[in-house]
Amino acid sequence: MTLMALLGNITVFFCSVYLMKYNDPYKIVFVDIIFMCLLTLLYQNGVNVKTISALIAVLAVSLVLIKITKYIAGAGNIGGYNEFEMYEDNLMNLSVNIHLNIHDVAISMLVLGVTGALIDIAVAVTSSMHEVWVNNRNISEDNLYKTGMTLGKSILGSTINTMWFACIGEFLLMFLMFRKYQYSFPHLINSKAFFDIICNIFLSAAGCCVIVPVSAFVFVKILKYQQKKEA
Amino acid sequence: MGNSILEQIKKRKFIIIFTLIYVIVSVGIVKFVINDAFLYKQTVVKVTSQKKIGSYKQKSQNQKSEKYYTQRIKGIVQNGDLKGKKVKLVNDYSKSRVKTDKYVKGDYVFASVSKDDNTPGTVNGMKRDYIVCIIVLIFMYCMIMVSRTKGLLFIISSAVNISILYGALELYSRGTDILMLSYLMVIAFTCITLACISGINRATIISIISVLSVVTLTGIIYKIVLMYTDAPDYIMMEYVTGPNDLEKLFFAEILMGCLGAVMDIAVSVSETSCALIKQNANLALSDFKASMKALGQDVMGTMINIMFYSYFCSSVPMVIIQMKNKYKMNYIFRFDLPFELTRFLTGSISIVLTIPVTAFVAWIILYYRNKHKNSSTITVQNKELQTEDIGSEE
Repeated sequence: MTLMALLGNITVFFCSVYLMKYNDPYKIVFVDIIFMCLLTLLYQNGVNVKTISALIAVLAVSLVLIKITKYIAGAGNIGGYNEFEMYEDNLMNLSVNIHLNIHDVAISMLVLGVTGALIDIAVAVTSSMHEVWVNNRNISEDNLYKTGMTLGKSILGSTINTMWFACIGEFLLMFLMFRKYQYSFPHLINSKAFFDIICNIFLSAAGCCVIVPVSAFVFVKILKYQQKKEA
Repeated sequence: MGNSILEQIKKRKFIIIFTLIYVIVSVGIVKFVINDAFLYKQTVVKVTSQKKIGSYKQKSQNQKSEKYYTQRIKGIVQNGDLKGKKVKLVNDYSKSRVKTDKYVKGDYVFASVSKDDNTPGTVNGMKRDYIVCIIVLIFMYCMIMVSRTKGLLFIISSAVNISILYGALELYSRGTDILMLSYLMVIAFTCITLACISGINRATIISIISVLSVVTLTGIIYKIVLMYTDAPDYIMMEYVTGPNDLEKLFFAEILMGCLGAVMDIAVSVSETSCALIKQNANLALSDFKASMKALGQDVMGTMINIMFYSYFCSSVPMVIIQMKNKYKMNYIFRFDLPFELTRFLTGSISIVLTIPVTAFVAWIILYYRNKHKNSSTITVQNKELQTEDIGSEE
């Protein structure tokens, strides 16, 4: 089941990359995120309160993340060739006239990259809250919210750690390049290569932080709504 | 109603005070970084207005033409001899903006400016330091808000890790072997991160041992596979134009890439096994194996998923540029993606390896410790008996 969902995700990912040449990257990525949620949440974990609240939380956070990334990373002109790629031999014979704004591609890819982690955290939070709620139906909203946050904390550290170390290898090579060309530290922190990596790590990590309270909140609200409906 | 709001405020006193202080401090920092042009030798210009003054079409190798725009930028010099002077700059940008950037009002740019007013200067790059600063501050706020002390510890550990990385590169440029350095770095990263995240206790020691052995195993597997297959074309690797130990560098990158995921899984497996054995000291090996298997199936899929996305997404813009140039998909897979693919696959292998290795290490350490503890409790009981005997004699 897990493997099937993983394979489905990978297929959807490559299809969306293929389609991206023709269309607006934001639309494609949003459709891709919805597909991912459907596969990992509803197919893998079944349709219930947990997954539906996780779905809502993930969609909301990824929309907000697209907006914020567009604003902040767009201000720093994320994407495109960085200082080193500009002069690389094998890229010289590639045409850069691609009729597609590369900034949009970079931003939408940043958000898509973090969605997997968002789904993971959201499901963990809502299912732990559901577990607590099933065992103790009279638990107050505040306490329920707190359980979600406690679990979120423990899972957050490990998820961010994974992303951080996946990027640190890239950091290594980038630092080496800067040393090789004898760039100074001011040059480093103003460069596009550094900015791309920083955006990737820290904005996605911030997204992971935000999903914890959001999914806990959505779960509490949905549970309340359901109870009202039953009563 | 008013009462409940007051109560809410009282309850969240810490959050409100912290947020206020944080916002004030970070606004101060960002203000400083925006105005730190005096630290730079290059001329920094603040863009006050920009205007599109013309466009032209340019054809390229693939016979596709695209619109290029010329913009005239008016700005104020922020540092150097010409400080405070109003200058004009010219900049060209294309519609897809792969090699060129568009600048808007409020940006800070590095520019080469001439002293006479008639010839406009050109833009050399963008000043991004304050945006980097804002992003890091946002991240730190979210992290501390959601996970308090743990978040703070994580931030500290990653700062230490980055400085270790920087120091190691200093050593590398003086001629130390990268392979040895990277293994030392792996050990340092593992110890620092794990000690920061979960404190110094038995579970941490178990995870450190198993992380190091998994990383070694992954390295050995990678080397064995490399012996029987052709090495990928390292020239196509990102960020590389020359050094002759590319193979070793890539190896170091692989080792570090899998470290994060391995650490997480090792921590969760070792903590669970400690809890299991604490609950039931006489746990049978088969039961232990079964529960470890269940745990492994839980965490494995999501971790591999996260790894997949964090590796592949960053290379998508490049793939799209190549696809737009009518490169075949199999060409891209052969020359551009092998590095991402290799990193992803080795990472997945190491994730899968972590679960049995950590369970094994945990079992051995906890089992022997339990045995030792049992025998020591028996001796303690004997001693107590002896003292009681002595007391009764008196």
